[in-house]
Amino acid sequence: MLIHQGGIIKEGVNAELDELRGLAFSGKDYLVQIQKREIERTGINSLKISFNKVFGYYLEVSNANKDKVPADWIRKQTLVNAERYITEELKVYEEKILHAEEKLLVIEQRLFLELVHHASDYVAQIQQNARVVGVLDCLLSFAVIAKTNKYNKPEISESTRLAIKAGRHPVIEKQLPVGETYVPNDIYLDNETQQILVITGPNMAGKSALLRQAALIVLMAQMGSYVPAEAATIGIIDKIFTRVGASDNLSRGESTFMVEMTETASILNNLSNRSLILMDEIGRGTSTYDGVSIAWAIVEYLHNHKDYKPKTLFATHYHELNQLTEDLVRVKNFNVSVKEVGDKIIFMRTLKEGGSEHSFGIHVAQLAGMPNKVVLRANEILHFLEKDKHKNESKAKFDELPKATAQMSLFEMDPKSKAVHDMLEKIDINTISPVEALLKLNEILSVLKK
Amino acid sequence: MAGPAAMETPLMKQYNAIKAKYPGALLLFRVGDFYETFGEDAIRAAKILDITLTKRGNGSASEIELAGFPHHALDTYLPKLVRAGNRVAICDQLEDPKSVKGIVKRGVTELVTPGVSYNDNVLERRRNNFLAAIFSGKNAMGIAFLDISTGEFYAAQGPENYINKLVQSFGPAEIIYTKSQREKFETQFGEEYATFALDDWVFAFDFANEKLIQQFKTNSLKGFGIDGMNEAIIAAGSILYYLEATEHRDTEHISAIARIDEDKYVWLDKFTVRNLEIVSSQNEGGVPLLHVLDQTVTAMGSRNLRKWMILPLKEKQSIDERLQVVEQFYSDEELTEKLLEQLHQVADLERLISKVAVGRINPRELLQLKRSLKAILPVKEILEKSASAELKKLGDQLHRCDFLLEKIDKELMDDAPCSFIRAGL
Repeated sequence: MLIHQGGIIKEGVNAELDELRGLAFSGKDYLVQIQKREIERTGINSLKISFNKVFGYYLEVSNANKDKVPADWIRKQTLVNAERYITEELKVYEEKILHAEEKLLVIEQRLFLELVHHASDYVAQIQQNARVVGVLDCLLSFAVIAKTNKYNKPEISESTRLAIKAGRHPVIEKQLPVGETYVPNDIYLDNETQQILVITGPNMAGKSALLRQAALIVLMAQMGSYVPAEAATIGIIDKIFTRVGASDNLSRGESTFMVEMTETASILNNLSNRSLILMDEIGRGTSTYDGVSIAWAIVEYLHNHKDYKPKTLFATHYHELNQLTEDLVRVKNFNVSVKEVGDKIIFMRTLKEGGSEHSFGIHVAQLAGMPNKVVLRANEILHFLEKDKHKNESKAKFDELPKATAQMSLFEMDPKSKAVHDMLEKIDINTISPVEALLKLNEILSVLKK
Repeated sequence: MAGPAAMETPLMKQYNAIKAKYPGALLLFRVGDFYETFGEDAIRAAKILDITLTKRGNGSASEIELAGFPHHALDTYLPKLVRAGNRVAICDQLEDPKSVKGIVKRGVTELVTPGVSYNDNVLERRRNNFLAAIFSGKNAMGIAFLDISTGEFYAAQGPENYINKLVQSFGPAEIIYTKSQREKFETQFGEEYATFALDDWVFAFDFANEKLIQQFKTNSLKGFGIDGMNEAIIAAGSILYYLEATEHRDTEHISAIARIDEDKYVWLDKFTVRNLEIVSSQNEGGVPLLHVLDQTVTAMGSRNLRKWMILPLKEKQSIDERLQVVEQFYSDEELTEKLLEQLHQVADLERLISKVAVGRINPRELLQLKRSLKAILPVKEILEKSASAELKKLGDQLHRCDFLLEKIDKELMDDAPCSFIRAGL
């Protein structure tokens, strides 16, 4: 089956092909001569020879010259303003030309397939060339991007230290609005002194970005790229685990908390001494106290593992976890700093040693455009609750917590706080009307006054 | 669908016989200059392609829906059908209608599925198009990946979470598995991936082992590092079977299989691949790390980068080797520029040479292959002259292919057309 139009193989490759081409070409040349001769003979200056698939070659005469057509022409087709004729002679040459063309197409096709067949001997070599080009291209790309984005060469080390100086998040830093610069951060982890960082800070302060930034820098270094940091020493990491509390799988309708716990369990069962673990707001999918307890137990487990000291970044808004450092020597508290100016806050986005006291959740609500009344009222409640003994009590409870026994202990809440807590939790802030909110507050107060 | 056999025209009889051989596939049936679809297929095709749905044998008992398009529009319409998740069987006329009396012999010349395609319009230049096969054995799960457009073939085995992680990382276009495990995989992958279940007998060790040995023309699989990995071998073997079942019989470019060695690469659990947004973003409009880092200029570079990103190394020496070369390029801008200038001229060598192997290359593509190989010559020279041992090594690995270049230069016209020429049709 011929699908191609020819014009594939050069001259001088195949003698038969060249000969056929000559024939087809000279045939066409002869057609031009026929055209000239017939113009002279008939005096029809607009006479032309054309080709179509139905009639082959034909002579076309406009209606004005119809009467000058000689008797030996055979009429084939009548158009609106012209007539088409063939002659014996034309058909003889047509036969020659078409025959030659058909044959030369077959030969071209054959020669092309032979060439392809010949090329198929080079499959392995060219596949190797492709591989080398791929590798080279990647390494060049790393060099180019390192220049444009001001990355530096990491030091890969057999130690278990991970030290990043002035690291940046490679993707976020590219998406900042013009004029803003990414605030770089230092991160240090090792297996001996600083194995687990508990990072507290308000929502939106950039805890998650910080966690991912550390992992991305490690990944980039270990794929052979420069990294977005002033300097980085990467003690080789062999496993990276990530868990983000209750964010995905919501659409599948599974119990998010169940999913979260199953997945966290799979991390704990696959640890190694060179693991890097990112835990972002783990335990968020359950009530506060369950959440704190689970988070607490996980950190303890990672710290006290008998064989491995996996490096862990643990972001949480449960500042209760700051108390972990009292007993676990390789756990360190850090916070993503926030400046309080008057009643407002400014995100500084720098990582600092030390815990943080509040979660600034209400400030965030304010930033999110919550009506002022609600924010003010929420502030009042917060102060009230903070004054309440519940906070101190719970701190005391954490202090009394049995130390990392085999069984995780649970603890009970003050019943009053628990009731208030439950009520608060049931409130859907999106649907409640101001009046209902006031009534609800009254109800809450009455519970506390009991 | 059709009336009693007595009512069938010979053409429809032939159609029904062929249609029955490819259950689940949309059949494009070549009639003269057209590809036609009938019945359910026609209804589907008309909807996806926005072509007219008509009826054949109006009013008679054998009335049937009909939709078709001219044969030369195949390259336009086929990708749309495949992207809509269809398996498409292309049935051609196997004889020249001029030379036969009565009905022309027809047969399926290719079954295009989302995971098995050479068509440039189905494939994405910057990423591999992997077909995956998964087999769950007694002790472990096996997985294999094949990109038929480049000839890359990988296998691995391990616990379920490892297999899941690989699926997540490689993002195959299609996953095949055994019918008896259909339920398990359907729920696990069905939503996100195109899947297809094969008969259980395909997933047998002896059968798979034999298939692979035949494919690679070796005596055993020892040289590929997958010896003893029975589940992985079974998965890989089922892929080769699937190629045959989809009429992909020219596969000489698939000449080796590589083990994805768990011990060589950083273990990234599937949440890490997703949450860190390494190669794709969770959010619409989000930017994955790949997009920030990808400054590659060739299709091979881009695909390789993706692989490096999902398989970071954990051995100091191999990481340092890469870093040293990067440092070399970083400090020598002239060198970088010279090499990039050459690489810019390199087309998708990997897919071009695969097309050569399966006899589907057109004259213009062969010219591209020539130009690409020529552009590599200076690269080889530059690298070989380099002081760096690493670069020298890369230069040594490049083949000049002089004889081939000379032959193409001598024989192929410099403005050869892109018309489709295929052997055996």
